[in-house]
Amino acid sequence: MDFSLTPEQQMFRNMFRDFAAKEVAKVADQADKQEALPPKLLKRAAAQGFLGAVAPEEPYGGAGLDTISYTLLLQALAGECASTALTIHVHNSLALRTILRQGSPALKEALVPEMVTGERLGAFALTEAGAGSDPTRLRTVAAQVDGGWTISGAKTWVSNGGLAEVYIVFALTDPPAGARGMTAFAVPAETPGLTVGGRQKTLGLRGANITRLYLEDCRVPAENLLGAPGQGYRIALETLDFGRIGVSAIAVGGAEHALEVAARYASERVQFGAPIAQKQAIQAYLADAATQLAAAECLMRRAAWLVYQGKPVTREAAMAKLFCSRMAADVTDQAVQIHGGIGFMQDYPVERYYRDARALELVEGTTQIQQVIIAEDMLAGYGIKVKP
Amino acid sequence: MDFTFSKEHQLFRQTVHEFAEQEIKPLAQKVDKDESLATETIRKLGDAGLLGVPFPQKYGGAGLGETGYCILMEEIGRVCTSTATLIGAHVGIGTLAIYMGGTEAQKMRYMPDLCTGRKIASFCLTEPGAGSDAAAIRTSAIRDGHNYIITGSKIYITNGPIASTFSVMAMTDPALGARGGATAFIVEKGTPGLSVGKIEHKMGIRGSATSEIVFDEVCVPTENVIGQVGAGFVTFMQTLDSGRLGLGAASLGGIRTALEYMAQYAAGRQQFGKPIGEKQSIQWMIAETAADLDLLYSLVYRTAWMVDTGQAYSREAAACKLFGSTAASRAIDRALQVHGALGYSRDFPLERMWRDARIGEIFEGTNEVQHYVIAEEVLKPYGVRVRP
Amino acid sequence: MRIVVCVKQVYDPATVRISRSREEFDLRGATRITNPADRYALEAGLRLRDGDALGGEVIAVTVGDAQADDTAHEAIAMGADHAMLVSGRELAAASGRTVTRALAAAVERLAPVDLVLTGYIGAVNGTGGLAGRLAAALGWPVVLDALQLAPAADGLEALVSYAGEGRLVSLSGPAVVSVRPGPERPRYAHAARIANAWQPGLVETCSPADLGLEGDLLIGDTEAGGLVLGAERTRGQVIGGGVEDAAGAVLEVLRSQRLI
Repeated sequence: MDFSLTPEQQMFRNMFRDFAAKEVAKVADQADKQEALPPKLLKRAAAQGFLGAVAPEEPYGGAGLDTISYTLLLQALAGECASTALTIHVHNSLALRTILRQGSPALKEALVPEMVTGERLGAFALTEAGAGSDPTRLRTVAAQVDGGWTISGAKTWVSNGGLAEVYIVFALTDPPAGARGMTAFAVPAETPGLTVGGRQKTLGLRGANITRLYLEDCRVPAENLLGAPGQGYRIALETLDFGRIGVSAIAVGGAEHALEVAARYASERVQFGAPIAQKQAIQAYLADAATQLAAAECLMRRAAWLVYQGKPVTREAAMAKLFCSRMAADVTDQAVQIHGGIGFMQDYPVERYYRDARALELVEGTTQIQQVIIAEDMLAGYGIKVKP
Repeated sequence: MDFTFSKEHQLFRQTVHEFAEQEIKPLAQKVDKDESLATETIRKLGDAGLLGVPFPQKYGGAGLGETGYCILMEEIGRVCTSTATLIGAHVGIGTLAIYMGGTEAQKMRYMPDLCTGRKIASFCLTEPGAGSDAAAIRTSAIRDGHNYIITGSKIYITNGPIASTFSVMAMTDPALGARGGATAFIVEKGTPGLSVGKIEHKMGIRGSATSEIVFDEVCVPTENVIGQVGAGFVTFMQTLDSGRLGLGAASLGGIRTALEYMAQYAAGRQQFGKPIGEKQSIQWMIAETAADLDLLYSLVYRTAWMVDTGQAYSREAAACKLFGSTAASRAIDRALQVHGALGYSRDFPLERMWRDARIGEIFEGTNEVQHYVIAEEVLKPYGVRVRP
Repeated sequence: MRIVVCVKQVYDPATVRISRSREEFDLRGATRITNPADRYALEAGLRLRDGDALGGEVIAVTVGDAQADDTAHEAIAMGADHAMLVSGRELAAASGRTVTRALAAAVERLAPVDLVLTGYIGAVNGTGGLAGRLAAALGWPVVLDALQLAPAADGLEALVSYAGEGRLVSLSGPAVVSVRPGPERPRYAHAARIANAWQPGLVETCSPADLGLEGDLLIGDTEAGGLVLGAERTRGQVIGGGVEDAAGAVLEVLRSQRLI
């Protein structure tokens, strides 16, 4: 069992950390306070190939990162700014990858090169006001028309909404069939009838653009269909499986940085005549956090490795997401506590890490849904069919 | 054992509940956004007699004791932690320091204005090098004829920018250390050399004004010594002992609100064809929160009874703060999780409550300090010295 | 001025349920409060007293069972100088006439009284008739729906809500006035007043007999015949379709229900 990174992966990791330290660190605080990523940042990320991370070099000129390296990228970015990491993750994991796997050759030719260069940022529009944890209750519908489809409906919590130039939209092409009647489409932002709705202001991840999306008789050509009609639900689940690994990497990256900062603070802050790192209680906090973090990282990497091996990953990805998101919430909470009053002030970054981490138990399937997925997988072998 | 509240306390609770619903709750979001509490609100609190609740009527207080004070903090804490913090700092420690340590003349002189809210009090203890280690303060008070000259600065002072009466701890005899060498003073706004320094921007309780207070050779007469010279540390520690019970009560209010939100949403939100309240994971979160609520309620009011009947209460008050703050954070966190993405949205009050709750485990003695206080009490009869 | 304010203890409407199957109020779990409208009356009385250069007195009078004692004390907490509770089991579910007689007897006992104030309606099942009946029993003039009361040259001036307008009515001599809630809320009971509201001597309790009310005088003139329930709320209607179609459908619904 070899737990080490290959020399190439180590090199990537250094490169990603360099970029994060040089380009992301300096804008993280501002991105949170002004609730926007500076446009230059995404351009620079694109120049490094990060917006084509999951696309193969041939023929798209993507970075073609293996899954492990991809998690290293997200981890490094999240270490400085979760909003940046999330933006790049949603684009790669949920939008670009879906088009690469499900799009027709014509569609890929039309969209992928621009997505790789960053000219066309991708977004993922599944959730609706009445369909959150239960995505089968969509109201967005798509009807077949001459040469394509028209889509109408309203989506909520669309990450990269407003910034994106292409949206992966899920709609019911056969409403009576429920989940089996769901279909996925790639809808370019310039499609008439597509309107970006209000920005959904959030507790954390404030640098990320999260909006509502309205579709009013949006006409897309037949070639914008992803997969085949009725395959939408399966595509959504598979995409989210992969996406959970990205979220896990973001969780680990953020928690790792917060813990480092906390350990350094504990070593420097003197109270009662010695650094507080000499207090057993603080040592216990640090030890528990470090252990949780290490376990999380292992789970996350293993899920990534399974993808890399072409193996099914539903259960492991859910376990990684379940554990990593909770770990990030706990570790960032401890980091705040170790800082004392300073941890509560907006002058110091640690409260941002705490707020950002909190999202991770909610996005891309709540903690409770991850539990259902894992239990379902476990209990199938015992003849139990888990009903959500 | 009669667990009913007196008629007076029952009517008081009803009155404060109404006041909180009508005067405080509608402004809570705005208070957070604007980072300030309206002077109008402070005036209304004063007019209703809510700024001197526990103190005897001869000093201008309401004479409703610690039980009345906890009822107030619970009902206000239900709707706005920023307001509860203002009251907690003004009544629970600022004015209390004078009440617990001052001479009869000092009480008659300062307390009436404070109880009516004509003047606001603040408690100046913390310094950059003296957080949990309160004994490490450096602010000095040097005797000069009939006066003391106070020099130094205090940080993270609640009500700093709006207070007129400052209860300050300074070293009169560094050689003796804090016990015996620290003295408590009353310093009034307008005294030359006293100024409000840096205003803090915080993650939560943003409506509560927090700042640095600077003492640049502030000259006060010896009459302004609270009680005796050298008694400052004991007075301040005793004040904190008592004040923290009010915070436990405010946490209780927060848990009540979290539970109400959870139950309402669980009943109204449908996914998978039924209300999410029919899901066991939601039911478990609700049950755990309700159990914590009942525990804290009993603990808070029993401790208040102990205070009101002249019993020792230091350990129990610390337990109220320790348990209350963590239980509130947990309850609000669960409520946020139950609400899914809506809980993370700034359009809904839960994320503010989540940000507000976090300070509970840190201020007025971090939860780590509360551990000492309790451990010390338990181990004293066994002859074990608990040293921080 | 010596002002009597009639305050009634009622069930909190938020805690009263209706049992459709038994066609009656379900009072299990219902809590009792001071009638919200009466607090506006009390506020009006307190303001008159506070503004009276010659000093004044506000006396709260309440009629009910033993639990109504709370309402009497609440009135003290809010600022009344003292209170009278006319209490007896026979008054628990008393009809309008009985209550009116009890209040009138209390007012007479408290003479001289310059003004009697009432709330404009009782919560849950009030009819708004008290002021009129009480004035008739006392033989005094009545002013209904006063929004504001102010001292005037030889008495009081009331701003009355009448057919959508405000009208000024002058009063010289004792009268019964029902008070309409205005834009300002009644004051909150001050915390110190709450602490002192149960001190001895503030609430005088008497039985109907103490006021000369016995036998036939206590017999009611009305009897509750039962509840007539309104139509049950049905499920709402979901209007789908595109924006324009839906807007048209919504307009149709609103028109058909004569809401526009």
